[in-house]
Amino acid sequence: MADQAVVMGSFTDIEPSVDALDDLRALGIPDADITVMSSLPYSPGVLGRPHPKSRLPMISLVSAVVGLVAGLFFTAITPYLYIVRVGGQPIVPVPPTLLLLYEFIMLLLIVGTFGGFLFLNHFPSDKPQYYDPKLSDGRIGILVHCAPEKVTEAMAVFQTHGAEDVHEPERREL
Amino acid sequence: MSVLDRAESRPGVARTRAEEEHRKTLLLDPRPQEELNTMVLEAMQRTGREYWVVVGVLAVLALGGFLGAWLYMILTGVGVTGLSRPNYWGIFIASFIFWIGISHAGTFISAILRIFGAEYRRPITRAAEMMTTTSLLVAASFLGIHVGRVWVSYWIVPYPNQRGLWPNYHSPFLWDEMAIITYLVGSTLYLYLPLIPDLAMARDRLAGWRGKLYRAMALGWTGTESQWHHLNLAIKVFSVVIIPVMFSVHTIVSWDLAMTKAIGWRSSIFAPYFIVGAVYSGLSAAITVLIIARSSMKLHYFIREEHINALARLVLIFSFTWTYFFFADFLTEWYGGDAAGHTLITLQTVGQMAPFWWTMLFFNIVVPWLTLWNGRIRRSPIALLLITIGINIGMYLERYIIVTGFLRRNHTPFNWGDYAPSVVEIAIIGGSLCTFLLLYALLSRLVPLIPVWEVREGQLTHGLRRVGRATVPTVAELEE
Repeated sequence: MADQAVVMGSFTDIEPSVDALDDLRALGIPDADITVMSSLPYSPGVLGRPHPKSRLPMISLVSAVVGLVAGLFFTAITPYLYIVRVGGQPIVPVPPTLLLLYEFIMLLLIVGTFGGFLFLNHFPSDKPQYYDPKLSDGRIGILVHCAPEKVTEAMAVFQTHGAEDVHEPERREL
Repeated sequence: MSVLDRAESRPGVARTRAEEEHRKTLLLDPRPQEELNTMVLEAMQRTGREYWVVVGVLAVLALGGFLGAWLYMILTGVGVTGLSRPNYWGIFIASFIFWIGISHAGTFISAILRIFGAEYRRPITRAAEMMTTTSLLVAASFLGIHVGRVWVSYWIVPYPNQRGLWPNYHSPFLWDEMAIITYLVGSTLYLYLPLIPDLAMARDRLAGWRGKLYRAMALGWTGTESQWHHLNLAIKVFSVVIIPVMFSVHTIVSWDLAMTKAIGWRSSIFAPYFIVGAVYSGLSAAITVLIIARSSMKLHYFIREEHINALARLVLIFSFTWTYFFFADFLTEWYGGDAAGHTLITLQTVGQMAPFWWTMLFFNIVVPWLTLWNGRIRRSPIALLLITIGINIGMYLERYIIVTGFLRRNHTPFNWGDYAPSVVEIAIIGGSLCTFLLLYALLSRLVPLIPVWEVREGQLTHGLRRVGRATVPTVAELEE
């Protein structure tokens, strides 16, 4: 993307934003080169954008499995490594083991999901980014990476649909 | 005659009036997001002299009562408590159970109401989640206080050691430890995740030390589709996972008692009974906190009568449910005819625990049942403040009776004994309440107490629609 230009338009309403997205696609700009930024979680269906795929559910599942394995190690294997014989009691009693397995699974699932969320979003990040603080006041920002010759057309699309602000943004410290 | 009925009978004027009535609902009374942001940030930064006086007093009481008295007990020994044979568990464990119970409010209001799509939850989730985290911190400290020699409390953790205690997963005390750690981690992250967009909003608008703090805590959030998608997925996973974790925590806390052979404790009904009691006291505490926050932080736009009314309905339902479990537990002991069990019943109903027992029934059953069926009372902040504080007094007494009352009598009368908390114990208990209030007061000025984006999202999806001559609220689904 080194030889690509970046254009950003910000809108106050969702309807013209969606219309602008349609026109940008009509210009031949692929969805992958368009980023929508907003202070509300507009779904892909609302924006008319392709449904993103996320590895987060898989990360959560793997974390739960890791929790199960860790739980089994602690509750069912270590008692045999450090045997404490108590008269009449099994070395590994099943009900408490199940209970602790459950807690281990849940703990690792929670931590893993949060870790996955950070990992997939590249958080924490203090790198300069394309951003406009007005977005948190309800504006909808559309960021377009395109060939330099398409900058004028992209800007025209934004202006046609009544964008409040159209410019070529610089990366900035958040 | 309802609002909609009036609209039907007098279509011309009343229809507008019906719309006006609906506008009393937060989600049907939208304002620009910029204005919502300003209101929330102003509330967060509203720290006048009164606020600092309150914080100062709480800090002194927390330091003196909680940490000071605790330090005195550490230096002197647990002999300064009222604990003695057979009452080895006293007011510390009762308080531990109480604070764990309070922590259930956040999960119930946030996760369960989120899953069931209760839209009124939107402005009140964070205030409840913050209660969960702060009360869990206070609750966890009671485990350390209770064991006395807190500096060796790591002995609870099973690890290879010369004492040959490794590994011992048989003890409910260790189950407690695992459950509380899981719940504390889960509820803290569950509080943090939906907070990120609001922290980014605060970052964009505030400078100075606050700006730096929110810049770090917002992690670099810019609100891209991808970030929102991952956030929504993570919140969904957390909402589903945190509910069984919440259930497990109070279940295991109840098993601390139910797994023993003590009379009154050994009950298979204790787990659900404790969970219902926890949600009952947690919801009541949430109402108390919301009313105080609404008044002190001037959040009347966000926290309305509809919210405390909805929560008060839930409190009434949980009052019925708690009473059902209480009666089932009581009846089983009474009908069983066990002589020692009957000494416990006598102790509670006409003996030395009777004032506590009857006060508990008054606050937990009589007051809610006589008042909360009434819509005007449910919408009255002052009335609800008093009722919910009363319920938590009642719920604290319930834990006090169960923990400290039931240990006084057993099958061997020569081993009977009484218990009264010492001044040191009472100072620690009072200080713990001040610590909770202090933590909450500080946190409420550090993070946005209202989830602005969730409120705005709700306002975006709600609207009014004409059906015949009536005007009815509708809600859209924006998931797809």
